[in-house]
Amino acid sequence: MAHAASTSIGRARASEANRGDGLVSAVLSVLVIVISVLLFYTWSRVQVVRIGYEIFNANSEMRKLDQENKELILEIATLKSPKRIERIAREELKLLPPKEEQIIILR
Amino acid sequence: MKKPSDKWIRFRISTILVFFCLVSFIIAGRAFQLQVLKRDQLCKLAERQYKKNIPLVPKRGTIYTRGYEELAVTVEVDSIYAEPDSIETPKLAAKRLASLLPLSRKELEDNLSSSKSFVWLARKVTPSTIERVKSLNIRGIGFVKENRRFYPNGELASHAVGFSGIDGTGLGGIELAHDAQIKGKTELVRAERDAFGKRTLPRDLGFEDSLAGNSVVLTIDKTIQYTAEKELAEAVRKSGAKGGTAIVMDPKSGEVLAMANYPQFNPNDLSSTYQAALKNRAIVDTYEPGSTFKVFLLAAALEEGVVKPGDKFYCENGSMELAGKVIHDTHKHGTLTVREIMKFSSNIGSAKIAAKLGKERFYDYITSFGFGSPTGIELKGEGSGILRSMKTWSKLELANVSFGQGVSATPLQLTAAFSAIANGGYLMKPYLVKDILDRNGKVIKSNQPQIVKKVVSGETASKVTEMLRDAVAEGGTGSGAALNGYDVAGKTGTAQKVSGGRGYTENKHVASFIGFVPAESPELVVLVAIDEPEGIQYGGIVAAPAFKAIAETSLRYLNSPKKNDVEIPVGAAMKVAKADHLPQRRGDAE
Repeated sequence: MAHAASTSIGRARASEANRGDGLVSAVLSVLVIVISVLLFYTWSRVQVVRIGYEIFNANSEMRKLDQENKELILEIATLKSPKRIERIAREELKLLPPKEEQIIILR
Repeated sequence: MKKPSDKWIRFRISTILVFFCLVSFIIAGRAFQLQVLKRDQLCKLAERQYKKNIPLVPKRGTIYTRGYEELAVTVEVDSIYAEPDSIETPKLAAKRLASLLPLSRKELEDNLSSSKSFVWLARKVTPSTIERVKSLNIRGIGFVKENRRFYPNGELASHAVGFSGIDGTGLGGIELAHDAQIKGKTELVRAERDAFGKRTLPRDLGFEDSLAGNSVVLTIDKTIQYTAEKELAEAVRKSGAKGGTAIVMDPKSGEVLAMANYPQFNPNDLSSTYQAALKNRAIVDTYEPGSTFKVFLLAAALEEGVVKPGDKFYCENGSMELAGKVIHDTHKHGTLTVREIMKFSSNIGSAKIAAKLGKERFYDYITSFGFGSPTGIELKGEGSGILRSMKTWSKLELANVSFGQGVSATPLQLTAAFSAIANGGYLMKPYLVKDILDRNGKVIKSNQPQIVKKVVSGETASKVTEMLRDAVAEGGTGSGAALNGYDVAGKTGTAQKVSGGRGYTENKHVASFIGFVPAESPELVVLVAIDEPEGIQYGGIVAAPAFKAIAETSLRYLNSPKKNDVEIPVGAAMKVAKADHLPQRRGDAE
């Protein structure tokens, strides 16, 4: 009888202990999940900032290249100025406009 | 060693659990308070710290010739500013900067000691200046990119293109007329700054180029424009004139292919340009057209059937009295046909034709040819010329108007009116903007030729053309404009300038020539007007040679065949070219 009673108390304690362990596990699991979510969120924010910098740098590079391109276009346009071309043709290359008989019309 | 009891272990675990739960609850509570309850207030505070409003001044669109060659381009350059609050020793900083910037030491010191939080020191300076100022490493001196307008061809088409100010606003020419299109949208954008003050990409904006202005393609042809400017400058220099204008127009469409003025200006260097050079004489200046106006009298008289080309008029041997005044011809003529009146440019003959036509009909035709009202070209400040109401015209005034006195017109009005004779009688609206492109180069607006009015019939236009050919033939007043291989139809004009609104000056004239080529199928209408030439002042001597040079070069450039051109097949041509003109290549000799 006494043995049966002590066994019953033991079971009850074990059951209570198991319930306590279950609660702890559940709370810990929730904490792990919450912390994981927070960590993921933090990581994603860091990524957003990092990618933001990358985009900014890429954009700066693009602007720089675009600017370089515009400067080259300007330089080409300046070099193609008819006044400059005529000066070089006449003074440096000693060229003259073609005479009447030097012009051949191609069909 | 005594093992801790289960109870103690559980107590400790529970205590830690409660502690963590409490801490988590506090954190969650605080997070709720910050993220939900105080969200708006804190967001505003944070934004003030890490966000900054940056005015985004867009790039002006490019201005192109009809062949897509750049006439105006915007490029970013650096400007230098100071934040006086951050400058520790303004005197020393001014001393170091004085040798590099276009400001005196005193001006710099005043700027650097200013109570303002921001002052410009130098705007749109060269990269080498920027490098030198940067190397001084002065705290409180900053650099910012700004857009600067460049005109790579300098003076070329400067009056048509115009120029823009330091703030990027159009101030003349197409830059002003199409400012709203070219300028783009200026907007404030919110750029984010990190803990180090570094700017990151604004979230609500892709690229700043999205605000860039539209580009404009002009009807101007670079080669024809250059030729017109060069020959006009040569004519003005040779004749010792005050200035001049040359316009080249496509008579079929009204497209302005060249608009040249002398003196010119360089829009890259406005500081050394005097005000008068900025004036676009082609659309602003009005002058009495003189004999070139006889063309419109003749067109009106022929259209109305008042005269025929062979009709004869007695030209009073060069002198005719009318209403107490004497009208003269340059040379004495007896009886002349209508054709000859045009060829020898007889004022007396014109006055007699005008009298026969009547002032009402003549006035109607003059206004139909566009005189007395602006042509409507895209440029600002266009003149309308002076055309008094015909109700007030006396017989003498009618005679005067018949040979282009007492009436004034802009060079562009004359060119447009002449185009109507060249194209078979249609008055076309002159235009300078061919297309408008968006920032990706896509055409968003394309201007098409516009007929303003059918002024005379094709038959009348042909008859007038025939007579204008005579005027350029040997013995005609415009023989200096005759081209080898192309038929020219044109008319000279030598008009006295009005003196202070009363009477005419003795020695001040506008010498002009206007014509079209090839006469049988006109491709170009060219006007050359020379203001106050010295010495010989006749249009046939001063302006006609410039017309000839512009027309000849332009027709060759446009590959317009001459009447006497010999066309040969490509293969044969290459043989001829190799044998006679081209240097042999190394491979050819082997």
